[in-house]
Amino acid sequence: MQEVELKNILAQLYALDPSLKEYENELINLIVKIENLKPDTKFDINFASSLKAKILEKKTISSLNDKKETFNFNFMNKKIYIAAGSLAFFAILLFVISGTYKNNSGVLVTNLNHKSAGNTITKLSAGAFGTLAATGGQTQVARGADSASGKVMSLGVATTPEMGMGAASLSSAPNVAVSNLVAGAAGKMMIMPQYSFKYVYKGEPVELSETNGDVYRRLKGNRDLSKELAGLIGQTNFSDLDIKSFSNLNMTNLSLIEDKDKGLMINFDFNEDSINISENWQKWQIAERDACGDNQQCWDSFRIKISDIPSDSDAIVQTNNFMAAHKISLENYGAPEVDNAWRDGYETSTDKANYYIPEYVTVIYPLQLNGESVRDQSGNYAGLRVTIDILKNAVSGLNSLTPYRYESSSYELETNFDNIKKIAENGGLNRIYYSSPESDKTETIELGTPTRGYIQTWNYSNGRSEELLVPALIFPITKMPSSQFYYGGKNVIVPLAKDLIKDINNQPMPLFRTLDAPVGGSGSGVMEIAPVSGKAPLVK
Amino acid sequence: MAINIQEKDDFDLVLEAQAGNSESFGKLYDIYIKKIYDFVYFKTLNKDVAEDIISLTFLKAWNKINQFKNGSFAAWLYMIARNSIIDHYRQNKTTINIEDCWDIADKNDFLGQVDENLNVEIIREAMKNLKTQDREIIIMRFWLDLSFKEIAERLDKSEGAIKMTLGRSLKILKTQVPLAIIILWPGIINLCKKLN
Repeated sequence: MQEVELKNILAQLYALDPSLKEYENELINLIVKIENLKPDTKFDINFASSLKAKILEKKTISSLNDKKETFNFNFMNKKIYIAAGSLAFFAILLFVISGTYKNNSGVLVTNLNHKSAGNTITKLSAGAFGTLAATGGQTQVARGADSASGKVMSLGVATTPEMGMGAASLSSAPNVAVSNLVAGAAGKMMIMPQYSFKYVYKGEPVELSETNGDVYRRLKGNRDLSKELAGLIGQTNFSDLDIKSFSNLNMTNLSLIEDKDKGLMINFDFNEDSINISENWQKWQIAERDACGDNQQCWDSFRIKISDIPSDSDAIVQTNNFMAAHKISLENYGAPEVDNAWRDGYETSTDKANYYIPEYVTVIYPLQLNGESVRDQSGNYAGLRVTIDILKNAVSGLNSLTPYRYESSSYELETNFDNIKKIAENGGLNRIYYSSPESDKTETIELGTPTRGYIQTWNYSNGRSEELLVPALIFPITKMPSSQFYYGGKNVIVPLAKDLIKDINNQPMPLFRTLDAPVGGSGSGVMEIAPVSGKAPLVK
Repeated sequence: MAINIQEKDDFDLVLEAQAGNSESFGKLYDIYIKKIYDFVYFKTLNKDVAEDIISLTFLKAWNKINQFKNGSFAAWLYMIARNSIIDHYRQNKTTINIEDCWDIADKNDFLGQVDENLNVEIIREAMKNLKTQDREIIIMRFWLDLSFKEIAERLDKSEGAIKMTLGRSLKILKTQVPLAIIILWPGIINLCKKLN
């Protein structure tokens, strides 16, 4: 207890019983002694997590049983499936009517009688997904650069926000990232912020008793559906192409557009089993702005002002209405939140008048699993992202609507919290650090007691990308750097699966080396990429 | 009546939970699990027993959420926890104090210091001699770090009564714990130097 607080308590006691004051030293000593007696509760985060899931599951099951009618959106759901098939049919029919293509079959009726696939989680044997360490996760987020001063930088690439920061995100391809970073640099590159980030755990001790936990793999790729839709098209004769001459066709994508003002494009990705909605850009033009030409004043009149940003509650009402209008179930998602990450930069900006405010507001519907939230590798919520075009005041996009179908398999979890803490103090999976030669510019980031959740990561083995949800601890950043903008999100996330973290602190990182003499003309820096050997210190 | 932000947030969440929103109850759970965990553990001093009681506490709270009308959700939750502890000991050990288990606690149940076992034991014994609720106020103020206002809400008493009780309890403890033990503890001496 802080001295000030202790004195304050005693002062309140003296106010009621002044005779206590003469024993002040004894009372202080006694209170300190009592505090020292406090037992270690050994708070078990896994217990808390599983209890929450059990309690909420019980109530959910009973409330579901009480419901007379439920709607479960799933794009492999029979209703939607038929709708998608019908739309495809309709689109083809339009072509036929317009005379562009000739329909030979005369009967475009297909059997769409698939079984409805609702929320399903299929339990597999332990370790069924093979090694988790093959995931691209941690290697994907690490970037390195060898600066002129010979130090190391690594940028964690936040997968979100797309709109929020008002800045270009880095590509996963190192060369592209490098070229973006060094554009305009002359000689040795000046891309390093001159400060270091140091993560320090300030939370309470945590006991991890769960030796094994389920990892989830999203099921995707409905071959029956894609084959059937391909067969639907295959019955049509195209004037320039005999589609029937091809064999074993599958449909991979289907796009539909709304042909109206502020119309949307709906894209069905059958490989990924996802639906994405975006603007039908031809219907979102602003003629007056397009006619601005060189007139800067005209352009400025269309710039978003801070007063144009809708309140969070208004934005959420707008996206909720959109979801309801299109019968998109939110059963598997948590309470929506507005992605206000861009505001961090805005608030610290000294030139607010010229600060670029994004034209889109993004509302996130966090994906839930066992009552816990799922996070991306930056610690941000993973789930549905719905965007609102502020100028048009309309919902303009939706990302990653996927069926809730998973397989689960048990994996060994880390139970030594010290090991997890060590990884968290290295920035977790989303390392944002730079080891500055000027040690006096180290910025400390404080981490609080973690909560349980899942991290969304990808396994690129077997020639395809598999989406995995892995048990993880989410450490909230309780104290941000005071003098530098920290672009790493509000959480640090550490997977609990041993397989995924065993080498996390020792993995080699790519380095970008500068050459003394610039090559390729003035204004361009050149780097080469080299692995770091051995155990490079991750954080100064 | 003034209402603090936490209470307002709680109240909104409770209303949503009463409408069947399990996620809102999940948020209440997140806010209070650690606090209730500590509270129950400090009263039971047994991890397994504490976890059973905590499970029961939150299950009852969720099942009876519609019975919560107004006031402090935290106080309501603590009341359920306290009643669950009493129920537990009533069902299992009727011969001991059924409001907490300090009567049967072992010195090893406390953190203490390895080289301070004797002192810890004396303080623990002294605390054991307090009335259950007086001890609870000490636990809430110094172990759970609750303010007097929060303690008053949870125990349905006035802040003044809580302070009076705490002052009285400290006086009792002071008389029961030998002066030498209190004064000679090096850590305390250092703190005294800082404070004086």
